[in-house]
Amino acid sequence: MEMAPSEPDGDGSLLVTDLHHMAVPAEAERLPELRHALVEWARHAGTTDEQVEMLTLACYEALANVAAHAYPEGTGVLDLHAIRRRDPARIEVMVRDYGRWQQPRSSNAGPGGRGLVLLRSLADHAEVTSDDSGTTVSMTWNLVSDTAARPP
Amino acid sequence: MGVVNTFDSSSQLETAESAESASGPNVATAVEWHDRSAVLTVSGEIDMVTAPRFEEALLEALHKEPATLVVDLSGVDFFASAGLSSLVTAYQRTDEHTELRVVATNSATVRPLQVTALDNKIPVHATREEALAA
Repeated sequence: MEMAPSEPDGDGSLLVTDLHHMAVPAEAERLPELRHALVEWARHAGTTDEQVEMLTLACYEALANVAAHAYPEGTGVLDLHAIRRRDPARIEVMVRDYGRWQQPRSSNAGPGGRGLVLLRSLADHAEVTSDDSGTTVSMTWNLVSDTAARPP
Repeated sequence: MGVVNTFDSSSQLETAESAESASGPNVATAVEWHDRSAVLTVSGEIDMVTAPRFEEALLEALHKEPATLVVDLSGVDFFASAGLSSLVTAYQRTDEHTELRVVATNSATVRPLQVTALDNKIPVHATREEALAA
């Protein structure tokens, strides 16, 4: 748990354990369960309903890109991490693969194109980094406050 | 409004595949005709697994050359880019015979259509009546 926020939340109601799904087969059929796990987790992490929806779709697109494009020669795995951080209060989600993406031919079409547009627009901050060992998509959502400021 | 799974019994109804997979996400489609207009009602989740079924239903409806094809997404509660791509494919297959319109009532469908600016290409309406009358 090296990346977990160390201090407990003041009001105690927002204590969430970070979400880690490691070495999940990068298959389309496996993604709904990850998506549902994210929804459940995000609902307890101090997000608004709108943020839950945006986070869910953006993360799905990141996962879908891995399932569709990261392992053109066969199968591989992915890691999903969702972490609640403080100062400023925010949620970070990381989707990691160990493959090689086929590059989108244009920004709006081809492999990953429309999905990347979506995830970049839906996250407050999004970053895609690739190296020899694979690709990580990191997305951040800023939380309104540390106390549960959810609309009724 | 927005009662998706109830159909006028007097209209021709062709219920397409209701999803067979037990564990995965499901999508259901149905087509009804109002004169020369077809309404494709879709419900469930459209993700990379179910989008091909959505696309198949779109293309099947287009194949019959309706004057208007209204794609009613009111009952869709998850709409991923794969579904947007299916709509784009359908849009590209329309010709002078058919006009494609979408009904989207909830943020799960409206937001992705807006964020990707697809609503600039394909008219998006708030109700089925509005889409049919447009």
